[in-house]
Amino acid sequence: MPRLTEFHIKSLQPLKSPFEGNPRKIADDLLEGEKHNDEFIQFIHDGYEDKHPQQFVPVSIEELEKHNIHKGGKYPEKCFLWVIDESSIKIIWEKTPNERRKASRPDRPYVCHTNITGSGKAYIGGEMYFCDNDNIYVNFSSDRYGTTASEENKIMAIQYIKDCGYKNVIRTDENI
Amino acid sequence: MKIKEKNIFIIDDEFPIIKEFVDLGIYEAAISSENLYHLALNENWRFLHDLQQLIKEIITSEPFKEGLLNLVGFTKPEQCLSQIDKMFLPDVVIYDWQYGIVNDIDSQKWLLEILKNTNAFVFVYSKVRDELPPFLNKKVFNVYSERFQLFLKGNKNYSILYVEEFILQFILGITSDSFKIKIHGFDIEFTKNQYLKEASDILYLDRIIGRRNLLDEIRKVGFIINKETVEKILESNKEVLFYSKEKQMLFTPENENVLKKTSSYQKLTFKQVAEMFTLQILEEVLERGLALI
Repeated sequence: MPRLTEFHIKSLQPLKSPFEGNPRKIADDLLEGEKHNDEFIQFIHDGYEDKHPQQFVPVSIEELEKHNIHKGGKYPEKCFLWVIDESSIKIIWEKTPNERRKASRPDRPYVCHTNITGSGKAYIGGEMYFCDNDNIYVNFSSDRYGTTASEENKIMAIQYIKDCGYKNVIRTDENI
Repeated sequence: MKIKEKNIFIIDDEFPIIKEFVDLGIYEAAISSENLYHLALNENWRFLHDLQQLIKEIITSEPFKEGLLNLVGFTKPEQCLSQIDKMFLPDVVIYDWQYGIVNDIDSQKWLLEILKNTNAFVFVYSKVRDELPPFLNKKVFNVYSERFQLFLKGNKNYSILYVEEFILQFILGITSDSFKIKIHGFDIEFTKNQYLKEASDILYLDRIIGRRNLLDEIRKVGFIINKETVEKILESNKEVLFYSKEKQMLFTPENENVLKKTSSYQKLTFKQVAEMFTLQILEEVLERGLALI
């Protein structure tokens, strides 16, 4: 299970600041509780080390279908946020409590992608769901690091996730 | 029908201390709004000038003048709990975490008592905000998690609304559909509407078009927020989103793969998405690149 290699970096670059490429927002638009990561280090899983994050909760087939996760649907209870930063893929369970963010997002008092990076740079990011059917459903749903990524970035991100040892990785935007 | 007066409790041991009030024993019980206003107008609040300003804003607000709000101060949580025991119940509590020699266990216990014994919404308002999540991320608070929020005193980097501006709009919003709020120090005439059910829903606009853009647009619409001006603010953005009725899906144009796989779709402006769906859906599609309807 590798750290990023030159091969990966070539197609993932450049490292991007949060919201870089977003026509409406800049890093200053990050809200209270969205910039820090010190509180969450213990929960951030380095995908380079092994397969499942410590907060691993699989999606059942019923949940997969009910929330249309395989077609890009959202299910925060079992959603894992991922980013590929300068060294490897980092993963955290979305429902990890974030009391400081509650002040600005009372509807979402849990972590977001910039709580993984400490609002630093990353190549790309999105969501992933580990399903009971052994598939891992991956999308690029992150306005900070994912939605403006190029197709080349996305293809290499999936390649890198597979190179880390994750099996049956499925891009949800190919299931639409 | 007369609307019930809402009780706002502020618990903080750093109200300015003046001899006249000490002699009268005013700090030993509930401090009336008149006395809080006297302190706010005449005394030096040192590091608490944002709270001082908040008290002035509440007391000079229309809902307060109309008798819809009652503001009371306490220097110790035990005083507040004693009033709660006598069924003098708050609707909103602004709760300082630290009292004298810091004892987080006591602060946690008092907060829990307030939450348990009232239906109040509690703003945990502290200078040491960053140290508090371990005390609040506990199972015992889970059941009350929708009734409290943690704020750093005087924080100006929180969102389009400064901390005290957020608390002010929350308090005024529980009494009226139309009132004056503050955004970055500016007075804003706010009226609840089909897009913004609460003044704090302005945070959706903050997240949709970004803070700088929103501040510019609020200036352009003359510091008035209502249905018409929200539409103007949304129309100021010229981007389009794609809607596939067949797939019941909204997506952003950057989603090349989705675009390739979708034969028919309609282009919608931000305003059209908000009209046809909601601001929340608009936010979701911008945040995730795709939203299933």
